[in-house]
Amino acid sequence: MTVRRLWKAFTAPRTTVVLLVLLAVMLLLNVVVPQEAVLGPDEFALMLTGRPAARFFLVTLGLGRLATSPVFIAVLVLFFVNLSAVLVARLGPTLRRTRMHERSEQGLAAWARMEESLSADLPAAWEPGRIVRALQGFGYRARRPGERTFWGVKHRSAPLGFLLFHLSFFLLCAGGVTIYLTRFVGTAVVTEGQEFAGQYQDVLRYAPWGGPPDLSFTLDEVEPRFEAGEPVHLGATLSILGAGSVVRRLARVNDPARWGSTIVLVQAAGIAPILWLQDAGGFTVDRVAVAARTRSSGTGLGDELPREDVTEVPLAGGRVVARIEPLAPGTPFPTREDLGTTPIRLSVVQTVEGKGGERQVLYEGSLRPGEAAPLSAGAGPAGRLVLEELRYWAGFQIIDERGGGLFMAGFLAGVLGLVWRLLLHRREVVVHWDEEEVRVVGRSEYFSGHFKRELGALFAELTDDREGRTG
Amino acid sequence: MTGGFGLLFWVTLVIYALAVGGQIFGRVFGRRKMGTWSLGLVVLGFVLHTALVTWRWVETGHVPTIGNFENALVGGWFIVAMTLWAGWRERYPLLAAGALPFALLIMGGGAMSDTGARPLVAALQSFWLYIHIFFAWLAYGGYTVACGAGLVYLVRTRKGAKPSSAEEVERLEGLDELAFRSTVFGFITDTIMIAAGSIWAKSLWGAYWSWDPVETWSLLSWLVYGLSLHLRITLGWRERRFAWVVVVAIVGVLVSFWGVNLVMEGSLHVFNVG
Repeated sequence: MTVRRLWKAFTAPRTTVVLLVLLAVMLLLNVVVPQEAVLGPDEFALMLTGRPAARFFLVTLGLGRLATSPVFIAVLVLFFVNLSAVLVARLGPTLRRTRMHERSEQGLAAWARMEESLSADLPAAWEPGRIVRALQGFGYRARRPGERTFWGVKHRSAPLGFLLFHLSFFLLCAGGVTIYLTRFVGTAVVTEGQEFAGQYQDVLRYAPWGGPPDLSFTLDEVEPRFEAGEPVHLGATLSILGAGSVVRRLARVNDPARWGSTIVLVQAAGIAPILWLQDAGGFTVDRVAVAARTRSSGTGLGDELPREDVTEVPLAGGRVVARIEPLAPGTPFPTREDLGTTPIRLSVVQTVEGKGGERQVLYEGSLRPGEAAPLSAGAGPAGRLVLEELRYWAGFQIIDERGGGLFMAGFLAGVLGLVWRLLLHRREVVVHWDEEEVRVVGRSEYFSGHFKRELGALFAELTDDREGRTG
Repeated sequence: MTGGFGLLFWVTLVIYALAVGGQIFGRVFGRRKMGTWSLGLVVLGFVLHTALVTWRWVETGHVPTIGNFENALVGGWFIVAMTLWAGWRERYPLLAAGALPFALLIMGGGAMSDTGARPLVAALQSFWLYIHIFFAWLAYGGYTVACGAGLVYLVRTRKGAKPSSAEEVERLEGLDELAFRSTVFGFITDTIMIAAGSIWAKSLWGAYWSWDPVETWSLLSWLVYGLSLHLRITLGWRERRFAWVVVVAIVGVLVSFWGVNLVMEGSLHVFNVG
């Protein structure tokens, strides 16, 4: 008895309504309550500082990470239990409705009391074949359950759309869970000509199941393009090292490079100076490719550059530091043709030993590719810093995950299910006649006004030039 | 927004406002002719509105999809187009009085943001963008028509007013069905919009879903309309009850289109920051 009651409660439409309202409330909380995923971990932690009440709600109750909070997951579980119960309860009746099994003439005659009913005098040239033709012309599949009765059904499989739409939630859920368990996200910055073999700048997410993807590539070329100061194109050509072969792939904004279950998104680009540090004898002490910050976040109106705008490059084991400034505000992003002549403003400093970390400037000025900065000022080491050339660097997000196919299948099933169920809704028509009169009755799952017009047109075709009257 | 384009924009808004005012005046004071004239004004406004969209398209070289202003311009066009279509097809000219204020609200809000023309940045150069926003406009148009039909239904049946004739009964039934059909249309196109947006997000940001405020609010809005269909289909909510549901539900659409970034930060949906 208890099980039956529970089953009844779970399959009741009102239970679904309550759960949908609960889900809506959860989503509302997700927007209204500050979320760690939106603010970022640092800002989120800062917000909680000295606020025990906020900490209780956002951390202890998990409302600040709502998508993974126990409350939200509990509501989702209940929703899926309800969905499963409804699907099981409706499976049999839904499948039965899609079959055109024989129906009794008496049963169909009871339809005559229905609202959508039209009748007229029997046309002189009446023959049953015209009923079949008319019904088929309107997309109905016809059966003849009695001598003077035809039964037509249109879109009889439409109830299956209900099953498909609700099954799509399970596909989406399976996709979401698979992605959650397998998703790895890392970022990398690579200069043209450099090889990437797992040197992530930052790993944003480790997959609970599985490790980082087995991916190595060489960045062949970066193609940035600007129009009116706006980035209108960014592409990066990669040579991906596969099993004994090299495969070239192009990653563009909106169109990542794909390699198995891994995608490589190109998200940023800038200029990368190649610097040589040489001693007084002309021997190369160090050679580096620097992914320098290219755009300044400052206003360029005489204020000092923000500290994070300057790219600091330790050379020769950190004894010397090159400080590269971004391009001057208003300077267009250099095209590949301009790279050979673009000046880079930089300074070279060294920490003076025994002076409490004091820094001594060895050089300050601008260099173009091929030029060298003499480093012989004061007590600094004699030598020079050569700007060999400028290349482009590209910033990537490397993502490896599985379950995307389930997600896509879920979307497809959801849309198809809705169209199938709601647009191609099921309609039934019964045509019955005797010696004097022909009567057409029908019913439609939805949109009775639209169905009335369709029934009227069908009736007009059946009765030809005779005048019909509403019954 | 200056010169001829700006002038045409404001003239269009004034015409729409006059049309809405005229329809309400005609209804309240029983001047049927005023209602007909107002519908003519909506048509005139729509012609000018179409010219504005074309102008912007030619000027920028791309479908107007960038920034709050362009989205409001084209989103408003879809609302007016669908209102006119529903009004003509279903013979409810008064529908414009219920649905057009939302177009005015959205377009007015768009005009207050940055209206300058910009090139199509790399992040927006995606086939999925067009699918996503096209279905968003269709969905919002459908929901607005549903809301308009619901409003007209509520006004016509206020204080328990009973229909005076069989024709009036049929018209009310038609309004009720229009609200339902528009909701169904909006819900299907909304589903496609969310799916297309999710696929686009995967290519652009690397994740199908990021719990971005605009994403979450869109899902919330979709859920509310799903709930309204559930109430109609399984619990039989019709007429005034259903009308109230679709009138209240439009708030979610307005917020997700326009309001989320006004009150909170952090959305990746740059189209809303103007």
